[in-house]
Amino acid sequence: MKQRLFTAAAFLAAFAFLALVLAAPLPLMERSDEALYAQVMPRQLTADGQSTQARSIDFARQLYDRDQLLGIKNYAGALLQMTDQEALGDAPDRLYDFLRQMDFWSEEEQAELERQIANADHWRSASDSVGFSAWNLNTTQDWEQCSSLQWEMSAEGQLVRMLMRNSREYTGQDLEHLMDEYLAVTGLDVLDDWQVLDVLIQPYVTEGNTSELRARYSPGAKLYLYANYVNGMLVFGVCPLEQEELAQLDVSLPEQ
Amino acid sequence: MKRNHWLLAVALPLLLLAGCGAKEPDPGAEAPTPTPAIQIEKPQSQVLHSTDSRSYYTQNTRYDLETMTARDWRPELPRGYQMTAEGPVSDGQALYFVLTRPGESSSKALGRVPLEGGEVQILYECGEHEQIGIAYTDGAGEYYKRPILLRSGERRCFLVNRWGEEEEDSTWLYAWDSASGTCEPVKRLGGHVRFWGEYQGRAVLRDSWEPEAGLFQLDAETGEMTVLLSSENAETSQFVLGPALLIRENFICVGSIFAQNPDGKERVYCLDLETGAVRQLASSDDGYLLVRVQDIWDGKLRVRGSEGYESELWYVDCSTGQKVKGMLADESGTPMHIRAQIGEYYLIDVESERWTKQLWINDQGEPVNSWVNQRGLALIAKEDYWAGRPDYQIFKWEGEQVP
Repeated sequence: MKQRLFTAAAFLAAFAFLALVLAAPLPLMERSDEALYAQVMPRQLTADGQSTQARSIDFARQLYDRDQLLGIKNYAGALLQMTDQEALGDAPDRLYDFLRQMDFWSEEEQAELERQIANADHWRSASDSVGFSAWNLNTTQDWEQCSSLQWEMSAEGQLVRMLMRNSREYTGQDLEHLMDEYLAVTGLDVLDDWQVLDVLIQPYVTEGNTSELRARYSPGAKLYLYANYVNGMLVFGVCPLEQEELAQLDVSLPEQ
Repeated sequence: MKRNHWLLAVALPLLLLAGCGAKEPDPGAEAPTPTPAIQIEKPQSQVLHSTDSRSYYTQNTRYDLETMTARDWRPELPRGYQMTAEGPVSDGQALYFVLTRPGESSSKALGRVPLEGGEVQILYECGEHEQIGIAYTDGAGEYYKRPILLRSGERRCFLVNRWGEEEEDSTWLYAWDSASGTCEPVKRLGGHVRFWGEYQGRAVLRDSWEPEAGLFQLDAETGEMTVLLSSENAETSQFVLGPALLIRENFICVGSIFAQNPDGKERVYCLDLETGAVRQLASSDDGYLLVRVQDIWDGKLRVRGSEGYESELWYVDCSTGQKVKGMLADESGTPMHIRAQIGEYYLIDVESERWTKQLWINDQGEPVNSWVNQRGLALIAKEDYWAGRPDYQIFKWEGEQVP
């Protein structure tokens, strides 16, 4: 009996020792992780950051930091996760709240947006550690044409991008107006270096449709603002772009 | 006895710790065949390829076989010139490539740069109605066409296609002499001469305006064209007149298109130039309406069958006509793609862990960032490839950590 007790004690001692040995470095590792995380921001952002003016605007700073830290410019074209209707939560309301602030969004457009959200049959979403979240809803239009409604918002409820089909036709002037309103609502209008870009892209347009593309760039904030109407789809938003990246695209800054 | 238990209490944790991380050898698992030290001796062919004894080159990357590393290769081009989509060829001392000078009347040029780097030299500048001859010199499985460069002692020969309203179409053999630095026309080869492969180290050409004249072997040393295959022989005439030919090693393969056949089927035939034997290697009866020749590697023809959205790749032994089994394939069973060969090795495409970000404008005019997988390139011994042994070495990008 005594011998069995000794054997059991030996095994217990063995496992206790092993657990102690394995767990000992954990607090040290945790502290090391904290130190590493704390270093990420200053290390990556001091070298080639935004202007002081841009850093003073929360939304401009968050867009840039997200690109620097996570490598995410936007969720356009990204594969989002399938989700259920419950998970949509207050996301539509946050979108409505933003759009209502824009002296551009008409009641007809709002009604159409609400109709599409109510009729959506597939939901996909994504979110990241900076607090941005994106939604992609597949919706069936009256004429049985399936299309996608997409939007992306910051944690503070600023709209990053939106893509929507509706029956209204937008002119270049409408798109300029939309951009002005967008800048005003997001607070990005404080930036004084917005430059109008020549957009050279010629998207494929189906018969009977048109394309209007408008864009601006802020070199200080390194932000690209765009509002497009292509094949009956309205799409607008803001995207962090370095000037070298801008040079890769079919857009050009006005000659100085 | 009591002391034994204390000993057990101390020894057991130590034994447990010692056991952590140690892996029991699996007697059933076969040890991978070690890749032998890479020693490549390239047989001398007049036709220059994408490889020399040390490296393989694409339009912008050099894969070094000695260090098994890849790095960007971007020579500084003369002002106003751009690299074309074609890849370079190497003679072991320098690379030769086609350049273009965009503009109203964009023109092509043949460039040369020493392997150790330096100034790009323009060897020949095309006139208004001229082109440098290009082809899949390494095999049709290569992604890039390359300039047809032929070794002739100290000279490097190339083809120039010329056309115009006043002048008859013609293909000329030009030679650049490295000793004198001069570049001169050697002779007119025909009306529109096209490269279809090589046999016994010499380029095999056919005049598209005069296919019935036969298949010719060009000796770059003398400029002589000798008939390799004549269309007069009824049995082999299809290999001369066929729409698309593949000439590698001892074999000429030709595919017949279904529209040409009364029964609406496609067939692939192969002529063994050593024995004269003709075999059917594939047909629509293999399960796909369209059967096309792709490449020949060590006597094995790669065939692509397709119908609707379905397609399949397989190899057929040119000497026996039998389907080849057991070669290295991916998870779906598709043979791993061979890009080029060098000595007793193949260069094959493999999945890579290297992802690069690509910025582009989508259909709605939005900037979009996507991650794109850069396929990797690997070196494998030929015997391992055909035995299905995945014992290959992947080229690492310079500066990349080797695990």
